[in-house]
Amino acid sequence: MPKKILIVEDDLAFYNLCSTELKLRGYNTVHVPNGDIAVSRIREEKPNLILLDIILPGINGLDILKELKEAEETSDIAVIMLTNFGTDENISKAVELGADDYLMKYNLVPSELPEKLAPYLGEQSESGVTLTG
Amino acid sequence: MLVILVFYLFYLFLKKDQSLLELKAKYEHLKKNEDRQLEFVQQREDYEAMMVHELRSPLSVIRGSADLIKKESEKLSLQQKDSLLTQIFDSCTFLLNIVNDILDVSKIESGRFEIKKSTGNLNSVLQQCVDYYTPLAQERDIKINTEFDTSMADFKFDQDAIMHVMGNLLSNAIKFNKNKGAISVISKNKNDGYAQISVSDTGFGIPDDMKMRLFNKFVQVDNNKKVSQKGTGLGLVIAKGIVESHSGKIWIENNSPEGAVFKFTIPIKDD
Repeated sequence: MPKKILIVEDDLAFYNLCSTELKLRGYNTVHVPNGDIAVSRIREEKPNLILLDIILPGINGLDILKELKEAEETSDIAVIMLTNFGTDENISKAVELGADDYLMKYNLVPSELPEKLAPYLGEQSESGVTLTG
Repeated sequence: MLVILVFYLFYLFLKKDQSLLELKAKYEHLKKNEDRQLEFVQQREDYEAMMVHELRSPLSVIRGSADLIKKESEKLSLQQKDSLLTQIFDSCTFLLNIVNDILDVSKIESGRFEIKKSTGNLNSVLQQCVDYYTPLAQERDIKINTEFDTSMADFKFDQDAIMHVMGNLLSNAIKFNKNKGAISVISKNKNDGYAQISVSDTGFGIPDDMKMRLFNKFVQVDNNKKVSQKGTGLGLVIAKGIVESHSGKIWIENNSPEGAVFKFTIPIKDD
């Protein structure tokens, strides 16, 4: 069964980029465009990994991260922050709240995404190294 | 002799006390200036972080779309390629608009901003703006109501510039509104030579101390929700510049029971 990656992202164009690449590599993707409904959708969908933007309509990504990591049901799901809002303050806060990684959108091209996510999905990276989440 | 000494000591005591008071006043004045400067530095840093974010977002999409087309060309369908090219085009347009906003602000600040007036119908300009922004509002179940004063005859104003003002006010009213909220766009002939346009929303409102400062560069509403709000924050600076170039005024009032009302006036009579 393909692994499911849930993307909390209000920029539809950026979601399309990630989703196109991940689907080409055999993953299922779920789109959540609004912070207010993110936690409830994550509970419903039970994804293998979450890509989480910070600046969102409604509840912001850091507050969503806090809620996910505090709840037993969702605390084990890998959360990777994927944002263009890379202030030192936000990065430290995300790490403190339990984010598994912090990626900057402008530094990342879609073809690199599967390689970056592999360690958190317990998969072998393309370089051949076995990685575990 | 002793009396003179006592008086002298008392004089020194008073003088010292006065000097202390002066020193305290000077300290408080400097502290206030320092606080203002720190606040300005913080606002500038927040503004720069947000501006960088606004520039990086469309650039990320352009770069990512080009990467996909280049590296996954054989696997992508024609429809997917078309969608990626559309994203590149739209992101370039978005970036161009930001660059134009930066240039407009620069012209406004240096007094080089010029308006081009032509005879037009204010209500039809307002309606065009409302029609343009209705799909965006519908995405969040926000209803836009209109109440136009039909007694206003056509008059001279810069139609593109007023559309720009309305675009900024309507996009803010959608962005800072709550889901299932409402927006009202009202035009009125004030019968004092001016038309008044108001755009009200049902969002979280604007604190009193922010009302005039919002028209300054580097300032956006905080309300502890800063990281949830996007935008360069230049929209209201440009709106103020355009309205004042028409010899009009722009200001903010509280909406009842919730939200904010942005009002502006422009002269109806010809120059």
